[in-house]
Order: sequence, then C-alpha cells, then structure tokens
Amino acid sequence: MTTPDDGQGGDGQTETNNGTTQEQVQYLSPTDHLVRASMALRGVRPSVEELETVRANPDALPGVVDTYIESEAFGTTIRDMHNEGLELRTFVFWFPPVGELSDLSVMELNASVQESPLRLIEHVVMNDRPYSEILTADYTVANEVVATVWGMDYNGDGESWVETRWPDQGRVHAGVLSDSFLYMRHYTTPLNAQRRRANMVTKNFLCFDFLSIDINVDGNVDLSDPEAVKDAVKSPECASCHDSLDPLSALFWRHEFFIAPGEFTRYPVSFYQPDYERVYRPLFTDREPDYFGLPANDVRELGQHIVADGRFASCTVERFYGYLAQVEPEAIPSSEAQSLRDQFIDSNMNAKALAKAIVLSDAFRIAQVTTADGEERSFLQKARPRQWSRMMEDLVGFRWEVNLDLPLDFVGGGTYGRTDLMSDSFFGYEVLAGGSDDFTVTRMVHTLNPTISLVFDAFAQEAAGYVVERDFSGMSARPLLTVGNDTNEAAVRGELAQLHLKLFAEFVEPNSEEVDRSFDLFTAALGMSNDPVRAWKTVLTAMFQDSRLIYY
Amino acid sequence: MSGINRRQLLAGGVAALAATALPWWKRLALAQDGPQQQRNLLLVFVGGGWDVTASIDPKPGLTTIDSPPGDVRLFGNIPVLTGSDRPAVGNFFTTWGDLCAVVNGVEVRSIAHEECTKRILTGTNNSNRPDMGAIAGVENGADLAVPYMILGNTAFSGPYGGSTGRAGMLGQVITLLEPEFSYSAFFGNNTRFKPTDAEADLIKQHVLNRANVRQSKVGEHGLNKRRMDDFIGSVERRDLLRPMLSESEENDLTSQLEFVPQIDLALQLFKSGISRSVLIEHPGEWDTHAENNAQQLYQHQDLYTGLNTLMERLMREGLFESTTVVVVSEMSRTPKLNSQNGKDHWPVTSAMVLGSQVRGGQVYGGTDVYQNSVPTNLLTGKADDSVSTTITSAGFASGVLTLMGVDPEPYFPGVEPLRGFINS
Repeated sequence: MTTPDDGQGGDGQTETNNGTTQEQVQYLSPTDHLVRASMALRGVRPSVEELETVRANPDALPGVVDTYIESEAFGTTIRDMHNEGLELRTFVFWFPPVGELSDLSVMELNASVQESPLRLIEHVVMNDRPYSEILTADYTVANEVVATVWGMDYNGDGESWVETRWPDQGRVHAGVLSDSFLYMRHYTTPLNAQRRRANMVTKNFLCFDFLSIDINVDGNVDLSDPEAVKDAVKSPECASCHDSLDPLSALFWRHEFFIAPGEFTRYPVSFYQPDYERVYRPLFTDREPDYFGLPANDVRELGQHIVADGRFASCTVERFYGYLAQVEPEAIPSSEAQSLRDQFIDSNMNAKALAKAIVLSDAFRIAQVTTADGEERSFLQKARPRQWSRMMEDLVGFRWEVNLDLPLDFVGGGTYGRTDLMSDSFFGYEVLAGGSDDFTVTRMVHTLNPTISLVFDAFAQEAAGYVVERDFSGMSARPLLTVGNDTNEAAVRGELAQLHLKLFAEFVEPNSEEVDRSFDLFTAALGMSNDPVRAWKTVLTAMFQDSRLIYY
Repeated sequence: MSGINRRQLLAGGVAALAATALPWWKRLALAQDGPQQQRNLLLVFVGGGWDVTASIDPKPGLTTIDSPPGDVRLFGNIPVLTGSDRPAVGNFFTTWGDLCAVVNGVEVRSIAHEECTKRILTGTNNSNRPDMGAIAGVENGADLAVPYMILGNTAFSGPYGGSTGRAGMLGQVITLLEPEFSYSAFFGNNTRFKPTDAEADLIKQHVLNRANVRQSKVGEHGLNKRRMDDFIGSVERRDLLRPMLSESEENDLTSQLEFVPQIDLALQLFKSGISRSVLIEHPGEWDTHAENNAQQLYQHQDLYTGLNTLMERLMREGLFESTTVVVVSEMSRTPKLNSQNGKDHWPVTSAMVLGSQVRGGQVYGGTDVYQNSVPTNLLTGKADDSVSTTITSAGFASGVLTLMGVDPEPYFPGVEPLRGFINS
C-alpha cells in the first residue's frame, strides 16, 4: 500500500514493500496535481491565481476542483468524453445547409446537429441529475438549429440548449436512446436487423461488445434468404450471442435504416419510422424484444433496464476514469475501480462527484512509479487536439482558425466555413495531432510522433506570430507580453518568469536557472535579428511547443 | 542518416532481457538496438470487403455460390476470374503472376467492418495491438524518421504510436511542411512567424534541452520514458519529412483521395529513407450490398489498374528487391446474392503477397464450395485434409512478419505462421 505525501508542496517519495517487489512512488506537487486535474476536467490550465492559492495552501485544491466541475468547460469535457465512444463528429454524416438553414456554413450547422446526444448528456451532468437520466430522460435538448432540423418546439434564445421533445406523436423518450442523429450515425440495414445499433448501446453503456467474440458462419446457409438466416442464428454456434443480441435488437426498429443527410433539400426532416417495427421487424427476426431475458417493449424500458444493470455503473466508472486519466480500461487499478463504483452508486450516480473523486485520488496524482524490474505505468498525459485548442485560446488568446470558403458538393450544398484546425479532421489537423475522425480513425494517439510534432510546431509558429504582433500593437485587453520593445535584462527576465508561471505552472525567480535558459534563447535570437519582435516570436514558438505544455 | 543515436532511445539494461514475452516497449528498444532488415512493406488495404469470387478465388458454375460473370484463366498455378470488362485483372496476373502469392481462406471470424479490419491488419481482436505495418516498420526501421506511415485512414499503431505518422484525409500534412503551403497563407491573416534556419535551430535546441531536463525528473523509467523519448525523437526527426513535398506542382490537397498519388508518395517515402512500412488504401466502394457484380467488377478494374502501376513503378524505381506488397481486404462477400442482387459480409477473405522473396505463381490455402476455409498445412501453405489447421488472420499476419524478417512469436505467442508463400 502506498501512502500519499504530506502535502508540503514537494514531490512525495515513498518506498513500499509489496511482498516480492519494491515499488517507489513519486507524486505530483500540489500545483502540478492542479494542472493535471484542470486539464483533465476542463481542457485548460489553472489560472495564476488558482496556482498561487494551492501553492500557499494545498488543502485548497479540492475547493478549486469544485469550481472546475461547475464550469462550462467541464461540460465540454463531458461531451468530448462521451464522443470518444459514440463517435458522432464525422464528416460522413454532415447535414447540408439548405432551406431555412442555408445561411449557415457546413461547420456551423453540424456543430449543432451532430452534438445533440452529447448535449443531452452534458445537460444531465451539469444540472446534477442522476447520470442514469442520460438513458431515461423524458425529454431531449435542442438549440434553435437542431429544433429547426427536426421540427421541435423551441423556446430558447437561439444559442441555448433547452429541454424540448421530439415532435412525433407517440414517440417514446429515453434520453439519448431516442435521439435520431444517434441512429442516423449508427445506421443499419434490413438484414442486419438493428444488431449494429444494439451493439453500439451495449458497448457504450455496459462496456460489452458482442463483436469481440469470434464467429464461424456456416457456408451452407443461404444468407440471401431471411428465413434461413432467422433459423441459422439459433444454431448452437450462434445462439450464445444471438439469444441476447437479437431480442435486444428488436427494440430499435422505429427508425430509418440509413439516410445520407446530403439528400436533404429542406428542413425539418424526420428519421423516425414507427411503422417499420410492424412492417419490417417480422420479416427479419422472429425474436420478441427483451433485455437479456427481461421483458422490454421499447427504448424507455430498455433505458430503465440498462441503468439498473450493475454493469452500467462499472462501465461509467471505466469511461470516466479512462478519459480523465488517459488509460485503457485494463489499466485501471481494480481496487480503485471498485471503490469509485461504490461511491458513484452511493452518490445517486452523480457524475460530477465521480469526476472529482477520480482527479483527487492518489492514483491520479502519481508522477512516476517504478517497480524493481523497471516496468511501470505511464502517467504523462498528452493534450488531446481539442483540449489543446481550448487551452491555448484560454492561455494566450489564439485559436488556429481559417475561413475555408469552399463549396462542398458531396455534402449536398453549402460552403465549409470557419473552422478550428485542431478540431477538424477533414481539412484540419485533428487526426494528424493524434485525434480521431470518428469513422475510420477511431483510436487516439497519446504520445508524439513526427507528424504530430509537425502540427505542434506549425501551431506554435502561428500562435507566436499572432500573439507578438497583437501585444506589440497594444490591441489586446489581455496581453500575454507586456514588456514591449524593452530589452533590458531585468525586464526580459521578469517577463520570462511570468511566462513560466502562466504556461508551465512553474514558480521561478527571474534569476533562476530555468529563466537563464529562456533568457539565453531570447538573447541569441535578438543577437541574430536585432529585433525584439522576432526575438519574442522565437521564444514563444519554443515555449508553445514545450513538452511541459503538450504533456501534463 | 537521421542523426539519432539509437542508444539514446534505449531503456537501460534492456539488452539483458529475454526476447520472448516482452512488453511492447521493450520490444521496441530491442528492435532499435538490433540488426535491421532493409525490407520495405507496402500494405494495400481494400476497405469495404472485396468479392474474392470476382477474381482470385473463382467459383463459377456452382449452385452454392453466385459467381460474377467471367472466365477462369490460369496464370501459372493461379486461377483467376477475368473478363473483357476488366482487362486490368488479366494484365496484372499476366505480368506479375509469377511474383504473386494468392492466399485464400483467411478467417477473420467476424462480419463487422471495424472488427474485421482490426483482425486482418493486426491479426487480433484487440485494437490496442499494432498492425503488420507498425510492427514491420518498427522492427526494420526504428531509426528512420517515420518507420510506419499511414497514407490511408484505417490502421492500428497500438503502442507504436510514436513511430507512426499520418498524411491526413486529404494529405494535408503538406500544409505543415512549408509555410507557403499553409492554410493561413491562402485563407488566413498570415501573421504566422516564419523563423530563419538559424532561428529554427535555436528553437529546436531549446525545446530538446528542456525536454531532456524534464525526462530526468519524471521520464526516467518505462512508459513515462517512452513518452519523453517519443517527444524528443519526434522533434529531431520531423524535418526529415520534407521530401514528402513533391518536386512537381502536384501538391494539391485532394490528390491523396486517389490511389495512384498514394502509390507515388509511398515509393517516395521508401526512396527517401523516411519510412520502412507504408499503408495505402484503395478508395473504392467495395461494400456491395446491392448490385454486387457490376460494382465489384468496376472496382476490380480500378484496383488492378493501380496495382499494375504500383508494380511498374517499383521496378522502375529499383525498389522491388527491397519491397514486399501485401494486398488485403477485411472481409469478403457472402456466397449467395441477396434480394437486391448484392452480397453481404463474409468472414473468410483472401490476400495477395508480392515480392522477390515470395514463392509466387501459386495459391495457398483455399475455400470449399460453400466458401468456407479449408484445412491447410501452414508450412507448405497447401490445402490438406489430414490437418485441422486453417489460415487465421493471426497466422497470416505472422507469416507476413516472418517474410519481413521479423520474429512473430513475441507478437503472436503460440501461433503457427503461414510459411508456404515464403521462399526459403
């Protein structure tokens, strides 16, 4: 059993004897812990004031974390976290800006439409509803764009996401299980008989993937004959999956199989087809709907069953821990997972409490661990592309945006529009920076390689150029640089010390060794160009791609 | 060439450890220190599921299988379904058949695209595992700038993410290689800082120095060290990607959506010594749930036109001797047509392997009249009813690694590789 440090502001070094192995644990300092918690929860760094508060009083850290989980940025993190499983942000299912929405760009339109299931989850979490409500909510949420697309009532200010209902008569509401875009993205075919959708639900909310099991298909079966297929899935080789998968799948027949949004010529549209259950379901399955043997007639009952299933709480812990600590499920310490699960259930499934418990745990604040044979877990986390974008906008006021005035015929209309290149996997660098495109590239890369390094180098050059020009012109209300053309050593060192604090959370004196290195860089650059503007651009380009910023 | 000292990337004391059953990060360190085969691997991924009965596993005249139209021609010992509407198929085997090993009956044991893709490329059902390209790239080219470059979309680098690079959906990596190609140059305010060579060198050295200091604090061991090694190595090597920029005018963004530009870039990466493995992807619509025959034959014509070009250029560039080409698709199609004259997903697929060390002009493995995999002697690669083994995706991947001079045992412990197509 490892023990935490004494919170005195230094690294904790503890030796333990775990029977046969000697384990050394090094913990983060309180301020570094705050950085990691802030990045994990919000995707932005702590403010200087927050760092100073925790440095002076490490016991204040939990209180600061409380403000983080109440912030809008945490809501954004909740959306990003769930998107890693639901994979909704893909160009393959872009809606065209047509009809009433023709004045929007493709990017603007889809930043709303594709987010609707994620916005519902965010709404539940940020309003302290039981997390289970993501699958049981008797409402949905929409902004004006989404309401226009689907024909919903909307009584907000246009931008706000407010509670509303799907417009269809008799349509059952069950949180995200009712969302049309969720089913549009996770399409099916008649012969697939909704199995893909069913597996998407079990994989995301029970952490059970039917596809992980090997199958052997009998070539004697004529798969072009639906009746033959119905019989085949009851054979001993197939029943172990299909006996539970097929009744589950029988619950998802009330939506279209597949529509390419590019076919839309006006709004509202509908993906809801309740008659398909009566007309098509009997053709492709003779299974009565149920949930692993328990009666279920619609997605409302499905949602109730899922949240009552013990696997739901475990899977939720796995998802939150895996995202916040950037680890694979199998790397989550089992004792930690069990404890978190119990706490989560006891809190009436409060997701904020779960997130807080994770980031305040001893396991989360480990800096480095070594065992006797040198093997260890990784504790350095890399900023995800979307986190990086938010972080740098918050830190230095720069967002890597371009306005791509390009027509997109394959979408069905409209122009691309203004885009954040770090959050864009089509034209931009989200995938090159280690992110996913939610369709073919679905695994994140949490380390650096040369193409990822190229992205950060280019970003640094763009940001440095912008920031220095802006600050030297005096046009910013919140400048990063304040020293201007003053190249006096004391002034420059003072500025550098402030940059170290703001960017790297390092409390260093202007005459410290760390600042010496940065000052050497400034001096060398100034000596080359004799231009303080270029010298600062050189320094910031280096700082904006420092490992202390990319890894936390 | 890369300027990287391989010793700098080694974990301490690794050489003393046994080579089997190692965690992946120790495998990487050993690969970097050991002798490396100068063998390139070009993986051609045909995404969506090709109908193998339309070409390399012909099954005409059966009541159990709905074969596309065509005639079976024999190219050496390789029967191929051909037709006047897709001459590129016949042309390919006429010219390159004796260098080509066809492998039929590869079991992926799933019928979902994502799952099958994972299995055919990695040989496992675990998306955290590296695919053939990543393994071969790292084992044979760990000190290159980007040992494994992904020009298509679908690949699995697993723990070798630090040794993998991507070009982007549209090949947009080129916009990062020269400021004048950047988006901001065309669409933005263009306030980007453009450092001189000397300034860029200052920046690089500073970044590396600070990273080394950080490594001494939190990156001395295991996976933390690997993260910092990746950071340092990436900064060192990224400028070596510059040859990816074409000398010609063809640096337009959408070119990477096409097959032949991917081929050209892959060969450029090999020639420039940037990569040892490259994955390219044929962009066709292969998932033919409706009108199977017309679509599949059209795609086959396009694919084989590209493969002909690939082989011609490999020869012309003098790369054939050092390059192995592996063509795979994640699944095949059902034996019978469905009600829309399409074919659905089938868990037994085929592959092609071409190279100077391939025993070509042969078919290995096979399928029966129901398109199920037949028992195969993995040593000879020949169908053999006296054995119980079939060709699995793991066995195929192990065989490819063996062909590439990589010991597959640490990656696929206990799996018998398919060796029949390897010239001893």
